[in-house]
Amino acid sequence: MYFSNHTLLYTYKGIALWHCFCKRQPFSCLCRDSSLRSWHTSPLFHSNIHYMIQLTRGMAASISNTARKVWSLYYDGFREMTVGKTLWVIILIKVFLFFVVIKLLFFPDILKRDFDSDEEIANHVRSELLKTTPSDK
Amino acid sequence: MDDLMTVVDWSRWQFALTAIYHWLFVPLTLGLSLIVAVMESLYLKTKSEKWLAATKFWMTLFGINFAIGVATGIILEFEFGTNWSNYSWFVGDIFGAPLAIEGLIAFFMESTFVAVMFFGWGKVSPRFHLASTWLTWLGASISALWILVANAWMQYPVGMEFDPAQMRNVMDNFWVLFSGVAVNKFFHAVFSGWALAGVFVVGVSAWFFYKKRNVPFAIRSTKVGGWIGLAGLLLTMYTGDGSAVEVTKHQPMKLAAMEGLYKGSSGQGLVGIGIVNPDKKWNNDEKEYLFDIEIPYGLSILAKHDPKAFVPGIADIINGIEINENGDTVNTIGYEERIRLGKLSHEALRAYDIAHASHDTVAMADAARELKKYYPYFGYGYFDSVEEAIPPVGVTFYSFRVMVILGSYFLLFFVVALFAVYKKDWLLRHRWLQIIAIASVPLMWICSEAGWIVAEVGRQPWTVQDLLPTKAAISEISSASVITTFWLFATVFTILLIAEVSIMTRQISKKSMNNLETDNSH
Repeated sequence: MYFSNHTLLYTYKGIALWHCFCKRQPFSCLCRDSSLRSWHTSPLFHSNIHYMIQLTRGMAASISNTARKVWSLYYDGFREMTVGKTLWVIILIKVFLFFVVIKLLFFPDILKRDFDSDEEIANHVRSELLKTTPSDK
Repeated sequence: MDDLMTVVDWSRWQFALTAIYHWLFVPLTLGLSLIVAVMESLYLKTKSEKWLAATKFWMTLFGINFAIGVATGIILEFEFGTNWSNYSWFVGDIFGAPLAIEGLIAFFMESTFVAVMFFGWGKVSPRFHLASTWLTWLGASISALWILVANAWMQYPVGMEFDPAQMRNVMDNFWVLFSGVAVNKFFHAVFSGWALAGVFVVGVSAWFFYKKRNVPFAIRSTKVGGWIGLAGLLLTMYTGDGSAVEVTKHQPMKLAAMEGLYKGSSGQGLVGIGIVNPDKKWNNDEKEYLFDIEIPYGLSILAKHDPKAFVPGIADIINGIEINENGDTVNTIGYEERIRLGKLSHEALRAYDIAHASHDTVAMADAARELKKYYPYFGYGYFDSVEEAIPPVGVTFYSFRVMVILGSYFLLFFVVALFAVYKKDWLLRHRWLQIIAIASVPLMWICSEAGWIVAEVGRQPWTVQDLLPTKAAISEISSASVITTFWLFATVFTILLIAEVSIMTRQISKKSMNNLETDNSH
């Protein structure tokens, strides 16, 4: 296989940069890699593919590790809550009350409910605004 | 449709109720997040467990307030769509962007970093945790920005052009939304949150002094709360002055109502304390005040930063009288004339409506041109008499005084608190000082709410200044449904408020039993 266009090169470099970022290594680590500096002349382009695969695997592992840490943050956080548990019960009751009970039963969006298009709404609002002039009461 | 005024009044009361309840939680979020961030910064700097314990204590109270207050603002958006549908369509293109951005920022930024703030102790690096705390504060402040930009547009509508085909104001310049009114309003509201949180921290700390528990923790907290509160209050006063200048330029009737001023003059004094005469009308000769103590030249300085400047009263504004800096009387457009021009704009809109119905594009274009000419007075066309354009003077006048007098009291409050905390024996010995500090906490909320009453009641009868009066903004709904939801909200929000106060006081009492010098639990 041969890297035949610059798009592939920049993708490759982008992945390498991301790898350095995830591993918290300086970007100069890329400069030390001669295969990145002179990929198009290096006879070792097959090892470049291997290197890219390794980088991709490393990146996937970093993302998976990050996702695991985020999950652990929330899971442990919720599990260890004390007063937070009461607050979350209040939040959930409140959100249910607001968005399900109050919104659905008492607060329809009147214009969206009664009219099908912006033009119909505009005509309605025009007649409403003209209707509330004192001479029309 | 029910009697118009019943629906309008109940809808106004409902919006006022929900807005007032929402504002009970918001300023504490804005200010306490800053205090917590500062304390955590001090912890990171000093590596002292005492600052960590203080950070976690106040963070818990912040969390309680945040959790109880979250989503209370969404009710206001529900009301736009149901009770105020004419208004929501009329301003939709302007309001849509700021409210959408506010929702996104509130949801993503605050909720993400609040989670790290509470759950991230020991799981993320101290620097990342501190950054999350600061970003929580920033997220809350940025959320407030967009809401206040939207509200400021209601006071001073700019950056738009009215399209009669769409029947809405279409934004034509986004950045003009950040007018002087918006910038002053935003900073005034945010800094008042700092002051409120400062009073809260000092007041709660005073309770610790009163109970003689965790005194060093209380001293530490009073110092941080006191300095942030004092800075917030001074900045609130500075931006309040800026707001007064903007109100003078764009809402002179509001300023006149705030002062209960009917007949203005050059070198106009400011009533420090007074009682307005309820029998005074704009066109009678009754006295303006039953009692007043005036600060000479005060209103001229406040309004125009010139002790000799002319400040018009309600009657002057109605009659279109203004005196320029050279002392010459200048005639501006009086209210009778505005009403006439407003009715012309309505006739133009009516003509447009007829032409639109008959698909007469030439007549539509003519009517649109005519409408554009008189559009700045569109809202006045709804009035039969000039009295309808005067805000409620009594409510505006007294609310303004409550805000300013309490604000001045809190300046003294912070100065005394900071003085006393640096001489800690004072605080331990003078229990009356502790009791005053504790009792002052609800007063700060009253001060804060009074400010909003000035802003919103003083804006009446307008929802959008000069363009849409409140009575035209209302939906065609029954007052019964509005009354029902009014009492529903009153009940729900009161329960939430009781829950917050009881959870907070229980946490404060429980935590006070621990040694807060080293208590790192939360």
